Amino acid sequence: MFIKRSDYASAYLKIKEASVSGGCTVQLFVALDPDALCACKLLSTLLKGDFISHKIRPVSGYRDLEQANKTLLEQNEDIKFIILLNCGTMVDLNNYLVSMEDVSIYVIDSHRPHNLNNIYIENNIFVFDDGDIEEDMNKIHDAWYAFNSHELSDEENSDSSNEREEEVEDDNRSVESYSSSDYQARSRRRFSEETTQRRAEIKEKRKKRKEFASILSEYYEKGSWYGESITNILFAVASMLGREDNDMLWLAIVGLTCLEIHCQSSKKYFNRSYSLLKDEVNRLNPSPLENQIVGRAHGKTPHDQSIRLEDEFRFMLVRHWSLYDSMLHSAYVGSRLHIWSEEGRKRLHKLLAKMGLSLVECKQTYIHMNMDLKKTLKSSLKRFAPFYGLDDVIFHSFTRTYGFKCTLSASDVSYAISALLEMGNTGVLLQSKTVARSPDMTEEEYLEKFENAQNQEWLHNFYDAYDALDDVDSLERALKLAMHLQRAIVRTGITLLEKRAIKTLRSFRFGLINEGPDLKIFMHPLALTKMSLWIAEAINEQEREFGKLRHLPLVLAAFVEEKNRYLIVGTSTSAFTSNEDDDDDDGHGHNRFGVAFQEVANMTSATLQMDCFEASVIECQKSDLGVFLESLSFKTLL
Amino acid sequence: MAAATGWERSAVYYTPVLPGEQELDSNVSHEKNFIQFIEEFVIDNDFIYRTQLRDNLVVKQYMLNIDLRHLISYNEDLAHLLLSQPTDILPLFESAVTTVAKRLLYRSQENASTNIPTCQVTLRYDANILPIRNLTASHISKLVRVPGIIIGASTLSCRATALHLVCRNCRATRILQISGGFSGVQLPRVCEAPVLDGEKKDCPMDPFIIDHSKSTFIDQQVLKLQEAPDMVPVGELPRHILLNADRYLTNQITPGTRCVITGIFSIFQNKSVKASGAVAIRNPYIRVVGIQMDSNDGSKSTPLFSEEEEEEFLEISRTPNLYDIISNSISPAIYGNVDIKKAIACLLFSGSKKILPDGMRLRGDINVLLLGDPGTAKSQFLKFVERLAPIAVYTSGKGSSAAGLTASIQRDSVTREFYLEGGAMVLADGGIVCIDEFDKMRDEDRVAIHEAMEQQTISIAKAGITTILNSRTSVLAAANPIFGRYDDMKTPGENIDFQSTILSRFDMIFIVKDEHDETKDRNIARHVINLHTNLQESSETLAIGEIPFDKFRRYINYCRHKCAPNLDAEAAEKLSSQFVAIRKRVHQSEQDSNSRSTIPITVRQLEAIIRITESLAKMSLSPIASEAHATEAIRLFLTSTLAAATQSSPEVTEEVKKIEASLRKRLPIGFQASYRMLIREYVNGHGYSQHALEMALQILSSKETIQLRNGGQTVYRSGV
Repeated sequence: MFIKRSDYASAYLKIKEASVSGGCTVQLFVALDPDALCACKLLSTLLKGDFISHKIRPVSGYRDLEQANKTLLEQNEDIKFIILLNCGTMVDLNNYLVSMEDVSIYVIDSHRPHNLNNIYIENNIFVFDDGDIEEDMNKIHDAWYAFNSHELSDEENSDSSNEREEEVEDDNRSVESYSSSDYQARSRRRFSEETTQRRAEIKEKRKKRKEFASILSEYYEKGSWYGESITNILFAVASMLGREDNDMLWLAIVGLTCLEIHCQSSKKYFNRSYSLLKDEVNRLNPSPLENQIVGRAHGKTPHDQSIRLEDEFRFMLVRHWSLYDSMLHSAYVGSRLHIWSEEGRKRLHKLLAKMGLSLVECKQTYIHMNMDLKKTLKSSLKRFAPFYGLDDVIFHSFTRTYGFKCTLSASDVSYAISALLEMGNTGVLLQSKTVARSPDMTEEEYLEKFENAQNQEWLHNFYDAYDALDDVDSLERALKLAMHLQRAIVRTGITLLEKRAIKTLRSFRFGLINEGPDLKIFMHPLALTKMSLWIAEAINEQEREFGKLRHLPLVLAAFVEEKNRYLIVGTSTSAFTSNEDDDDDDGHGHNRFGVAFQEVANMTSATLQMDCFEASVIECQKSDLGVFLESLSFKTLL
Repeated sequence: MAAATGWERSAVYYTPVLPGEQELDSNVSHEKNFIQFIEEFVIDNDFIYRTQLRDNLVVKQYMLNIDLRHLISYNEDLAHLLLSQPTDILPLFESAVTTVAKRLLYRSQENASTNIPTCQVTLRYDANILPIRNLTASHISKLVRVPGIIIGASTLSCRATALHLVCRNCRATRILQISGGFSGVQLPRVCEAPVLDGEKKDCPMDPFIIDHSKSTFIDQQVLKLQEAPDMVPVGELPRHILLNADRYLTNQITPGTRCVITGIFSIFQNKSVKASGAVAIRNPYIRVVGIQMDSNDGSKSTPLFSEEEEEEFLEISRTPNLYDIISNSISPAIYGNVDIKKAIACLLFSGSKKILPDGMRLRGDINVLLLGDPGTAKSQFLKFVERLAPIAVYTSGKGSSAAGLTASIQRDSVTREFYLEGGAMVLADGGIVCIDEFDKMRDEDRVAIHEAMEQQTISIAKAGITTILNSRTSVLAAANPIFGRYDDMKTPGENIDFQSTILSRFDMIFIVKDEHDETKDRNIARHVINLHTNLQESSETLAIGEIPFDKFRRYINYCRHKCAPNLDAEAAEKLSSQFVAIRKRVHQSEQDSNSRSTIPITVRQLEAIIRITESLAKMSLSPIASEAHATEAIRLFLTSTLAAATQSSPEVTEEVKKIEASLRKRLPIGFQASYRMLIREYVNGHGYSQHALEMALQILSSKETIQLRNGGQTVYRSGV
């Protein structure tokens, strides 16, 4: 079943009612991505406010989900609600969760497509609808309903059941015209006509069935895409309950920005959420009155926690890095200026020179940069950036001030928490050394041990990030990590481009990272996805200069030595193209890799593992990579 | 408003003219803003600067340390002003701090006039660093941040801030404010005191004399900052610059400290330049306004540890198998050599020093000698220790002279007086001296450190200076065997070109042989190749070992300062009985090999084992060294020094000994035999190897039992 937007609040109230008895009634399963993290924080704030005790369990993949569900639920009879954050909607949950009569399962997930069984079968699974089920999927619903009701009948005794149905229909239709007099005649007539009619009907039915099937398969075949940020859904819940405050609003903003920087936002929802959040920001953060700012510079007060609308540059972390580094490492500027080549870097220098910034000044950390330059930065960028194709280098975003301590922009926080998710507080990555291999271990045992260790580490990272959401100091520390990460991405990206290591295959491009100092970083799907976005953007930009308009998608594989496997990520669209292809209203569009990977997995004997909640992430045995790529190249991916 | 003219240029005077007038950008408003900043700046309900100032005032420290980032986030314009015109704005800031200090000290207004000295403002600035060689004229009077090593610190001098001048004729007084830095002062040439009616103004030119008792002074220190060696471009000499620190910034840094100086780049006129006539040329110096020392680097005073840190260290000390973790953390880039790593760990932690009631000092420092084939990573160990140890000096034997290691007499260029300049051993007082290529040193130079190694002092009596300098250092030395490679055919004594005097001063001597062993070689190869391919990674995360580098370093420092273990009874008993056994073993092997071992086993070595035991206990911060520690110490000692002392290659010597004995029998005194005949007899006849025969002849001839005549063709039995 699904829950309409308007019914969010009542769904939440159900949890509240059920928890009156006390005891731990709610279990949260959270996927390891930044949006889910923010959503989790928001939800737990809500639950805490209502004194509803709940448990949070981050899950790294389907297997983990299944296992966690088993171990946690079977011993705990109190649990009445399971809430899945950013996971689960794409699979038939009945296969993964132990179904219990009195447990309701709430699924809040921004992954698409929905598994239709989850949303249409009337059971205890409730999928939160961000609007598309209700509005856009009527046709699919009809198709599904018809298809499924047919399916039952079709298999066993299609004819008779069809007949029965027909009759019932007919009866209803003609009930008013019933008269004993012509009953006989009618029935006789019917009988004679029946054979021809039936044949036509069956034909009709088959045609219809085909139609329905094609509607359904079209839905699934579209690939995977993203719905509304789930933090925003939860924020909507909060505001329906009248419980929203600045902290929640900030979480919603961060959640939205996380999707944006990972290129997972769909334009439709982004614009809607953005304008909604903007209104909320203005409502909850009234600008200080004129007479209050007198005597205090910038109108800051020591306890200022306000969120402001502000224009931001598409330079990541510029407030905390130096301007130069920030421009050099951000994907937007980097790809436009081709900073992987010497010429590109020169172009960057030239742009800076035009803006009147000396290199020494740019390399100064941003806070210590000359104040006048900071003030004129925006206007000079507006003036000169378009010459370099940086037309929308300035975008609207939000910043939050933490007293005198610091000011963080929404994208700063997004980068910081996603860095935390990838690398954890310490920034030390798991290595084969830390997961010691005892000599009598078989390959499988070690693999299992390593995977467990990796899972453990990721869960640990999740908690680090979770804590960082309300600890500004650790957020600030995490910014350093984010810089480190971005440096690694750019460094590796440049190496790949310089070596011309991105091969063009029939229907996609392929890049392989199997050495280099930063290999360990890319063991995390999130980091590898970022990497592939950077490269895809760079390549597309290169092609665009040659006048090519259609770009091949990119498949990037990173070697995980300990597992003897490749981690593979498919990216179909690049980061910023959506701004230009306005006709495509789905923003970052559909990623066909999920489907393609699945088909390949079915077709070949290659050992593949799709455990990640992202459909476009897959793991492949080292030896099977060739087979995998070969069969993948026969798929249409655009 | 402001009026600043004449010779008192950089002092700022200001006064509001009209009471209601508020002029932006005036000095008054700046000062007001600063006051506001200090009083209002708050992060998480912590009024950082108010609290800091109050704490400082309680202990009569009239100073305040400001983080510029805070000022920027509070009021960027103000910070900008401070950065661009520090000479003008800093005095305002200081007077603002003084005002706040007065308010804090005297709540009531009555005695607010009581004078307190002007408070000093020191700055913490995180902008990018600017190497000394990039300081240019465009930075003059700007705030800069310069890294380097302090190589010289003068004694404190007193600089007047306000001179009290008296006219010698009319006794008129006048107070002359003097700006900071090296800037000189010119006394006013004429007395401008108002003349009473009817009196004739007859003060001569230059009438003023200074009344020192009424003038005010502050401390000032001149420091010399040199570029850090790693920042010097290849092929260039390091450059240096003068620093001028005053008040609370004096006596903060000792020479040898790496630090980053925040200061105002200023100029002064050098006398010698003035004399040469180049009037327009000025020399640069930096007026220090903030010092950031690299964390506890070379600080000779007792370092301070925060409570959290202590907690953390205690946590570490409770880790099981800490000893292994520590030894793994040492030079993780080097494969194997576990015992050497352990020995170096002992050296880093060192034993306990003891002062006997009669004032006699027993050293606690452990000296280690690594003696071995080239390419066995000896120098790597030394370099690592140099970086890891809180205080360390690295020298190479060939490049060091006796004076350079101990102390030299210099003549001051200005005063023409002799003064002492400490050498490596003195500079590393309280730390470690790493001496590479120890064998390449001249013997005379090596003798110079004998005293330092055992007595831990350096006595000087030259050029009219007689003194004793402290040199409480551990020595970690690396040397090659006498022929470059260790020769198994020769006794340790022949391989090691050291006198027993110096050898006995080393607590542990390791002979590192480059042996061929396929599995070991394979492992090493893999290790080294891994290091090379993942170069970047390993340089970023310095310690792939189990304790991060910086924490390890702090931990060592902590242990060295906080812990001095004592032996318990069982350990003492064990050590003494073992010592007797060791002596016996050495005696036995000396008898066997018929020569006295070059590496003596004396009471010193007992002390060495005691020190090792103590240092092992110190690693886990335990106050008592137990028997387990003693056992491990003895094991370490046995594998190092004793193995070196009694080392010989058994199968060859057996053979050689047999030949020796039979030669003695075969050749009575006065007889001779031809070399060729001996070969026929022993090699062909008895099946000895020719090499063994040669060895035996060599040994005998070195004992002067035989003489080789006719260019080695005839062997003559000459003695017993």
